[in-house]
Amino acid sequence: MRDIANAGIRLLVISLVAALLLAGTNMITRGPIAERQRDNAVSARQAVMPEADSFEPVEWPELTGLDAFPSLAEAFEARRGGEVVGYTFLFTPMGYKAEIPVSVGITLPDGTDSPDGPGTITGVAIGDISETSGLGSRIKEDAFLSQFRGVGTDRLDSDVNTITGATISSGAVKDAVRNAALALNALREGAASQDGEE
Amino acid sequence: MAVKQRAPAGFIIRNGILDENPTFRLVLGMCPTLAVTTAAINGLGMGAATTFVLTMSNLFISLLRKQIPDNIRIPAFVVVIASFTTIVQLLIKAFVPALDTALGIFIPLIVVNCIVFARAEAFAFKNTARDSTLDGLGMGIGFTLALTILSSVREILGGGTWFGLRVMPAGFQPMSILTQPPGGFLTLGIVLALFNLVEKRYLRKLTAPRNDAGCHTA
Repeated sequence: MRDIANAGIRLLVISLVAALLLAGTNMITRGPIAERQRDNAVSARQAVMPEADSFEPVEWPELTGLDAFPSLAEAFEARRGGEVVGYTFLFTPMGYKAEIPVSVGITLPDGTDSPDGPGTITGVAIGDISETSGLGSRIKEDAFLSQFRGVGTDRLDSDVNTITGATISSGAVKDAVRNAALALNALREGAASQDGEE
Repeated sequence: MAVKQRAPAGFIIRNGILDENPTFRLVLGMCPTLAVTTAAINGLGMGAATTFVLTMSNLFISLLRKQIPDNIRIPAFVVVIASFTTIVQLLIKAFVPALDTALGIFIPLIVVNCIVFARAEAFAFKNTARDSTLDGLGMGIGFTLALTILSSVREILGGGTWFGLRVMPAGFQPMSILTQPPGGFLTLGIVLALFNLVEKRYLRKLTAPRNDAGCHTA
């Protein structure tokens, strides 16, 4: 009995010291880690929507809700001088091995008064992936991603080539972009019906 | 261990790098070895992180070895090793983000890396703080060298680059299987065989009589 108590107390002391050490490390690193995460998120949005100077999260429960777009992770309003110029979406579709984080930037059609017109893709960026290197990993290459730039969301199928040997990975990216276009439409329809009620 | 003679520092370190190289001789820690050695920088980073954890946990376990009763030594080891692993993980996340994106999911696995555990049990729990620290350093350097060699082979032949720089001529067709999981086994097997061949041919003659103190357990 005494042995057990003795051993328990010693283990407790060791754990306590370890916990204090960890708490100290956490205090030092918490700031830089949070800052890094913020920077990463902002630079990903900036990369797909270069003309915007600020981003506001979209408050739209139907959009980020479960059913409509299951792989939609976040949606941001891209603004330039306070005016909305487009949207950025982060989708995480399933690739060949794991989820692929795909950031998509889409501008509103030029004449905002033609609400059905297709938006234009300003950029597509891929986050950290674990696709097969040499095949699926090529979706990160500019040769693939640059195809999206400046393309109307209605011309995805004709203007963007899938990568040979990476059908699933590049298909997942194209799906994400297509979904981004649908999400943008849903947003605008939602906004229109809201305006109508007022 | 009976008559204690102070082993020279160089001997202990050399032991970890050559005679008992964790990867090539003890064949320990195969999981991170196979998983992270797809690019040279990953191998080096994983090796450095493991070296830190190994050295610190060896030092602390050795310092505490008279305070830790035998029957709770395993949980005590786990607490010490897990703490240093978490510390190194937080530090990497905060200050070396590039390494974090490459190794993020493997760093927590250092906790269950059998090298760290084996050295705690077989060496640090029985030896002085000085010797244990040196042993951790030596084993860590040995592990780092092994991972760097393996990952260099895989990155150069499998991707044509080394530490991200293109080293192969433009016409080189990368053997991309080497950067995939099967390539890990292939490379490990071949390099392991070469290491043993070289060791047998050239190094054994030079090696001082083997000291088996507290080793060969895991």
